Amino acid sequence: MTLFNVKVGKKVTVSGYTLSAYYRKKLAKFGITDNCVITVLGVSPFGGTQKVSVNGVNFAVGKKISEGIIVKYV
Amino acid sequence: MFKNLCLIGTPNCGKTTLYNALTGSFETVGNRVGVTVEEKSGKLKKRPEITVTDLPGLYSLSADSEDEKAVLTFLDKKKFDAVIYVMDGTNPIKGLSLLTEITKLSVPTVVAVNFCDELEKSGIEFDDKILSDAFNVPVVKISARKGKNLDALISAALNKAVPIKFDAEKVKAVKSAFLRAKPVGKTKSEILTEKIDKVLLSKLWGFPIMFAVCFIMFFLTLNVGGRIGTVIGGAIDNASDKLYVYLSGKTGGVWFADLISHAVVGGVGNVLGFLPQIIFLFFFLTALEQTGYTSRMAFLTDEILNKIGLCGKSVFSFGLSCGCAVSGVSAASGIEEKSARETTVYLTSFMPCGAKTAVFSYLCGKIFGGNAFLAASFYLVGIFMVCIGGAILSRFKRFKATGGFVMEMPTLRLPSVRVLYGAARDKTADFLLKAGSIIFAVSVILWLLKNFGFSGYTGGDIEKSFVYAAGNVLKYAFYPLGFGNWQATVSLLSGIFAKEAVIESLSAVTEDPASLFSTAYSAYGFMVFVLVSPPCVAALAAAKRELKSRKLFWGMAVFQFLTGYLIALVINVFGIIALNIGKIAAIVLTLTAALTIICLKNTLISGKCGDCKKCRTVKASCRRRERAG
Repeated sequence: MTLFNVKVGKKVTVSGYTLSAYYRKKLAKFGITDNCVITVLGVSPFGGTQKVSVNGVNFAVGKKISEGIIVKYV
Repeated sequence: MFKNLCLIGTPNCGKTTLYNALTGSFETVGNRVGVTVEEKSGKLKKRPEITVTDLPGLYSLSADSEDEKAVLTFLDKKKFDAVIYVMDGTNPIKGLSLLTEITKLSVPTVVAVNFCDELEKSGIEFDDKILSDAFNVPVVKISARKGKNLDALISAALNKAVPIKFDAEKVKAVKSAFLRAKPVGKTKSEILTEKIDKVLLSKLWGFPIMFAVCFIMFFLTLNVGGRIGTVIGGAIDNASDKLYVYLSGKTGGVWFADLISHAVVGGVGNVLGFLPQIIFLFFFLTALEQTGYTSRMAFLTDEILNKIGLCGKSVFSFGLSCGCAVSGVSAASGIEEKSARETTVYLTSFMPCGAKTAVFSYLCGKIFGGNAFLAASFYLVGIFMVCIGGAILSRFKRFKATGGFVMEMPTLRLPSVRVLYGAARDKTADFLLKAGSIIFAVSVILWLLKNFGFSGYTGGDIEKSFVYAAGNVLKYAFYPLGFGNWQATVSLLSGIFAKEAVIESLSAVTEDPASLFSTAYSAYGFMVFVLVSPPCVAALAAAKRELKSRKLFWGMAVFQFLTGYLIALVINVFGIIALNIGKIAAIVLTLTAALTIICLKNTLISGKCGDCKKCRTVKASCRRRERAG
């Protein structure tokens, strides 16, 4: 399951990526690393961009990125 | 004692607010990521021998965007003695990773934990002792916005700062402690932000609220600001006429009286009449940025913008371009993805800046009876042109966005009165400086070109002047657009220096601007050409800096000119058909032509109409198949 498929209000942990090393490094800068807990707080009106919380900090994550983060429910 | 301090920290942690408080400056502060795009230095208010440098925010010492690279370049040069590391006290985990990386710099450091006023208001205690123990540096709790504890911070930075020596185990313990505290330790602002975001970002209210905010902002600017400007403009006109009578009586020299009263006072004064609109616009834009709402706009629009080669962060550039194209172009440096950044630079000047808005207001006043809605319609035209331009550019591989959007969403905050005052003051000063320099120079040069020719002083006979000769040669290029006359041509040329100069030029070369256009449609086309064609030299210089390529820069200038020319041509042809045959016929013909172009485009790409959905780029293999039949 990818982060893109997670419904609003649910908590998941990161278990893998299908993204390139460039995007993984970029996500690591924001604190999104293996086994970190992500809470999905909202989704844009068109259903692509998600608002998530990682370690108490809120981020907007685009569809291409969220489809490349493999997660499992906490 | 250290003489050069620099402020480092993650984006949106309050570095520029702290810089403004320490130096007494009014640098731009916005509640979003990527406001500061280059370093700024100033002297400490209370200790002028000490220099403080504000840097753009970064999440780590490996840079993605141009502004992050600028920080690393500054740090490499080592032009500082000590670092003040600014940390967001409401989200301390955000700054821990970068603080660990700062160790590599081996520079004396002090940590400033900001937003302590918010923590106090919410009854949350920040444990600075465990942070200080883990990194072995002084930690000072401050509120940059309220100016609390800044003296203690400077004293610690100058006298107690030491290079970081962090204990990895203690840092892990700090992170765990902050993580445990976070769910309980949410500030009132954060709790309120979550509630408000449920409405601002919802499916039902997200876009309507965004459109309403933009509409109110631009309507108030053009309507209220416009009315105040009309009063100022009228007063200046009266003053220039009285000055003419006085000077011609006193000196006896008609040409001198004409130069001073009509060219200088009247010409510059025409532009000053739009100062209220400029102030209103920047006031609202700054307030919008300060609250953090622009990040919500980026969130709402990212997916749509992706389809035209842009990303959510492009919204910052387009918003700032509504004030000044230079700011809009510079803001593009915060976009990490190269293709989205270049596309944004290409398209950002399609949005009407303050100067272009002044031109539209002037012409709408002279030709369309002061219709504020018509002047406001150019914002919609600008958005439409961005969509069309983006759709065209995204056909080229270079400008295809890859859609990797990740952006921090800051807590919503009320705008600071000090920052709003500073923004309005700075913009007024910039505008007056421009009016006093470029517009003044253009006024004098135009007056000279209008009153002198190959045979010397023309004595008022315009057809003997230099400006008539130049405009007469170039006017043929604009015949198809419905304004093929020397007056409109000269005013467009003067717009290269500053778009406000179009107003001054038009008022210098004609009493009745409406007479320059064959129809009302061609007058509208003229304004669209001013909107879309290449911006002023200052914005072009900023674009050249951002694109870092002569080929791309000239490609941008040609793209903007051709787009403006084609759109103005379409408007003029539409107008001719509408006036001669009828409006309905014109609409039907335009729609038919547009559909024909879209179908032809599909046929050229895939060989069959309707196959275009799967085929997104023009592939050589498709073209070969098409030619083979």
